[in-house]
Amino acid sequence: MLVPVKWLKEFVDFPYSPAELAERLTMTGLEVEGIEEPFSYLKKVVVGQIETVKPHPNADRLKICVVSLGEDKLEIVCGAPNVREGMRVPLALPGCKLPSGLEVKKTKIRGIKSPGMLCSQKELGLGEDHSGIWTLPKDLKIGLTLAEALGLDDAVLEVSITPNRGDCLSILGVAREIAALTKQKVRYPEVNIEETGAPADEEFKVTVVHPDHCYRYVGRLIRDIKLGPSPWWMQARLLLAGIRPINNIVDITNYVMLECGQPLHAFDAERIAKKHIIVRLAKEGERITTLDGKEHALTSLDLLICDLKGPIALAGIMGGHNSEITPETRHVFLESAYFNPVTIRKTAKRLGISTEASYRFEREVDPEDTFFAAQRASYLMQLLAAGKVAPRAIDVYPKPYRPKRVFLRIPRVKQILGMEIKKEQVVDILKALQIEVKEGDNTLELIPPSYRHDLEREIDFIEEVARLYGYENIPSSFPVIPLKAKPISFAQKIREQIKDIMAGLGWSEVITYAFIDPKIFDKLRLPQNHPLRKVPKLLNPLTSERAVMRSTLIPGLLEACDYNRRQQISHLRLFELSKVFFQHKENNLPEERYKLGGILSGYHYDFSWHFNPPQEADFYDLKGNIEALLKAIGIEGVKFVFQEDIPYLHPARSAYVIKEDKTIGYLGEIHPEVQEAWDLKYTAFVFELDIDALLGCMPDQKRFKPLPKFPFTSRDAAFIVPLDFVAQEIEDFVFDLKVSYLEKISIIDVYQGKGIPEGTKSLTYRLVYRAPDRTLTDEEVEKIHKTIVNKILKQFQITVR
Amino acid sequence: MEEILARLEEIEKEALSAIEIAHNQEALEEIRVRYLGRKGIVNAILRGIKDVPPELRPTIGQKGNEVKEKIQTALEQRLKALKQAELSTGPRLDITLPGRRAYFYGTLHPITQTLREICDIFLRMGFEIAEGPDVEVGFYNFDALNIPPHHPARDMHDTFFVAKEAKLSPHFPKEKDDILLRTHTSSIQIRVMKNQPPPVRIIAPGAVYRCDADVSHTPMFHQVEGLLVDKNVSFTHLKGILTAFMEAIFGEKIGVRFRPSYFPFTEPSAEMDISCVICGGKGCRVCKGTGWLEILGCGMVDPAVFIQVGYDPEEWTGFAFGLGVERIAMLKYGIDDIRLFFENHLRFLRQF
Ligand SMILES: [Zn+2]
Repeated sequence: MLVPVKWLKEFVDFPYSPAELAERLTMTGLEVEGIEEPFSYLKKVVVGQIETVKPHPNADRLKICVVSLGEDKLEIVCGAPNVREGMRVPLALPGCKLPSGLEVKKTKIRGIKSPGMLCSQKELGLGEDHSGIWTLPKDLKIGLTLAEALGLDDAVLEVSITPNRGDCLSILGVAREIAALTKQKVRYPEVNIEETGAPADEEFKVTVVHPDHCYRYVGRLIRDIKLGPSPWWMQARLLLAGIRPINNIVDITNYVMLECGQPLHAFDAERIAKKHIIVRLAKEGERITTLDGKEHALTSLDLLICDLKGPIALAGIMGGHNSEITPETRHVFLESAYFNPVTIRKTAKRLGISTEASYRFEREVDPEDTFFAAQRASYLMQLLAAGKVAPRAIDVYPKPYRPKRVFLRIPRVKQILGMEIKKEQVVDILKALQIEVKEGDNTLELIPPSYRHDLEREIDFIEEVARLYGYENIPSSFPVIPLKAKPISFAQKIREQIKDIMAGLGWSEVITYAFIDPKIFDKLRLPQNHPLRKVPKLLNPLTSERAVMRSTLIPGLLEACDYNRRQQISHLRLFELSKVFFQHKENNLPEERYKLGGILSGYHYDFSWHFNPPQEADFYDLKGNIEALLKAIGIEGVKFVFQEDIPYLHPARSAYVIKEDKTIGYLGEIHPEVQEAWDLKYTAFVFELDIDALLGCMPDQKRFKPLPKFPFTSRDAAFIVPLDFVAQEIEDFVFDLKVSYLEKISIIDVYQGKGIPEGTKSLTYRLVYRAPDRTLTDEEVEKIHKTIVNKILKQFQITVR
Repeated sequence: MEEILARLEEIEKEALSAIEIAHNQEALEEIRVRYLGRKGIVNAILRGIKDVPPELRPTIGQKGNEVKEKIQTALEQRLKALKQAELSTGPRLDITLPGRRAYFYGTLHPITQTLREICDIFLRMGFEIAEGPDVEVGFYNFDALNIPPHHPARDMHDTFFVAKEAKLSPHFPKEKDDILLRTHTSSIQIRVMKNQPPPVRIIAPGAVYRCDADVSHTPMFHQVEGLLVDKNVSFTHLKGILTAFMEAIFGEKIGVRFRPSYFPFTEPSAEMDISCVICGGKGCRVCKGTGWLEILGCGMVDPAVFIQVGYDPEEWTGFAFGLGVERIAMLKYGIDDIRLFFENHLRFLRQF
């Protein structure tokens, strides 16, 4: 909310500069987000009077105005048609920066010097009129700056009001906070109504059909108003508070709303059919055109102000087009009401309208203040629009405000705040907040003022005590708490460990958005019923590109890869450890699983003179990293088997990672169509491992194996096999033989080409033999080795190279 | 005899000086052969021993051996020196060429690093890490936290809702069983308290979501929520623990202040500010001239929340806080655009 400081001073005295005031308010919970002087440029605009108007010697359309600024006189060249002798005008002086961005300078126009510029209202940012130079009212003193003359020379605080403090959405409300701080009293604005004519309640009738939605409705009739602009002091304050002046009647309702926090609405009294106001819920499908010209379809949850013909206002939100004040308006029916905050909020949210009025009603206005606000506005209409206030306000108050009674236990203050605040001081603070206090021994009986809807429970009052006592005056200390041995779970520990290992292996961690574009599933070639498509969908996504939650980390990784490609980085290894989501059943929470995903693209190694020319990365770069990771977290005996059902992977260059018949993840080259869809420069290789599955395969406890005491002996064996022969098969076969003293078999060479038949390749294995209790003799090793080789040859029907 | 001894001494001197000026291994070898070889000078002299009376022979033999040893030692030392000299004068590697490595070290995302730092501090202060789902039920995200439907406090949370069967039309959702993306990790408080009796001492890190995107907001960001519930926990403890945290993460000299604020699930509530890390409190663009930066929201757990989870608010008190990880990372690393965290530009990631 924008709070002009001088306006504030009308209600309460304080010895602070705007900056000090901002600081004090911030420290009591009304955060001041900024201090502005919105019209400071008007300090370089002065009120002048045109003494003479002379023709410009070199231009027919231009004139030279001699402008008196009191003692000084300036000759200003001006092209506006309406300049006249004796006219009071705003003169912008050199250095003045107008809202349009134009900076006024000393210039020469067609050979005549012009040390300033006469301005229109629009040029000064004070209205819409651009038809000519602004004719200032005669009561503005010549020589004063326009800022001073119009009362716009004020600092404005931008105060952020928390949702619980609707009572501070007014100048008076902020003044009350200052008064509580400085232990002063606020001054209430003047009301001095002279009622004339027939009583309002004889002419108008108000019926509240649904009192649960409208607790109070106050109406006043003001006859014979003279519509026109409001006086400048009022316009100035509205402008400072960020509200555009319109006419005296509308301005008065806005002015009183800013003053007291009570939104008001002025109806054209003659446009209320049968002079009967009915407050009721809308009928399903009923329509209203609000004064912004928009038509709204209503539901039975929306509250309306109606006359006997139908809706004339959307209660608490906006008036109707059919009852608004027009230049023909003679009599005004003024509404000041208390509407149920939830009712107003539901309608405002549903229709997507937020007005100054609805904002305040949603945060609750003071039901006891409705009458005063109506009085104040009526008085201003009498004063500023020559209105005649009809006797007797109409005040329908079906749900009167009942003061709340709350007990505050003094020891509870200490329990919550951790320090003792003396009872007298507590009482003092609460009284300063206009809370009625009845003192008991250790208990206070409290009645909050009617505008403090947020004070309902003991804790609410404790907060008030703390707030005004000053948080900065409450000491800091440490609680005494027992230690704990296991502050994080196994899963939490392992997830962090995996990230460290990945970083150690040269991968950079990324964090991508958890929501993705559902179209990505098509780009990933997923069939319509694919399980990865069963994801939570957002009702209100920011863009269609972030409309569903991800079921795989691959899209985010591809996106990151693509982003980097556009930054000329195509050699990379990125990983992410994060959640994916599966919506198995509608209306339930989705399943959330942690996955480790990664993308690798570019070369085997970082480019350097050692590896020049660089060689493009392949499947084995990725596989090697997965093997290293699994080994590092203690998972051994993992198998890689061909996968055929992951649509976004190359069917001949990808695999599932299997541990004891359980799939824990997959890896492989991205499918060429996917590659194309993302326009990646180098072939990308991706993997995903399921963290829970990894945790399930991890040993609870790593176990020590005794170190070998005797040396090993190794023998190599090379076989000629068909091209599609899988190396792992021989290893598995040999392993399953369970030959004693065979410690390890590993492949050491794969060869294809000269020296072996076409359509075949040669696989060379190294077999390592060792006995735990002695050194094996060459003869022993030779014998075992021969047996194994022969069994292999027989099993696979292959030959030795 | 004297003559022979003098001769040996003379030869020793001669050999040593020859060794001293020998400038390569071949020269040394020549010297060795010449003096110590089987047919060398020393042996030749010793062979002349037969002309000496037998009682004097041991003296000469001893002297001969001494000379041999001295020459031998000198030869070895000189050889070592020559080899050393050869190493440093031989062809040198270009040690300025970059070393050989397959891959540069990888990096952890700055958010991960910041999260870890935050968590470590609280772990050391005796907090545990709790977790909860990212996709939440409205009840845990709002209602149980004392944010009723239609409360203006919901304006502080631009919520992403998850479509439900019956609700594919985007009318305004509000029910307890709405499914949504959590707007804060405070929802985890409720899950933890509903599942265990007090005392509670947790921090809950995680991603949160708000439908908001501009220069200073991303639709996903990270929070760490904290909760301490015990007997006799008070506002002074909230100030103590959170001040200690800020000093741990931003350094002992950081200034802090607490000012009243509003969160539906805490009361009294506070906003915690730290002295501006950019200007040191003098006032700058980042702190909007105030010298202070808003860093976290906190407060004493509202009794309504305790009642909701079945804790007795007369017996148990506690405080909760929530801090933005991106905010802390931005201040620590001097990052000026929050969107950088999620673009995953490798040149950005590599800086941390
Ligand atoms: Zn600063």
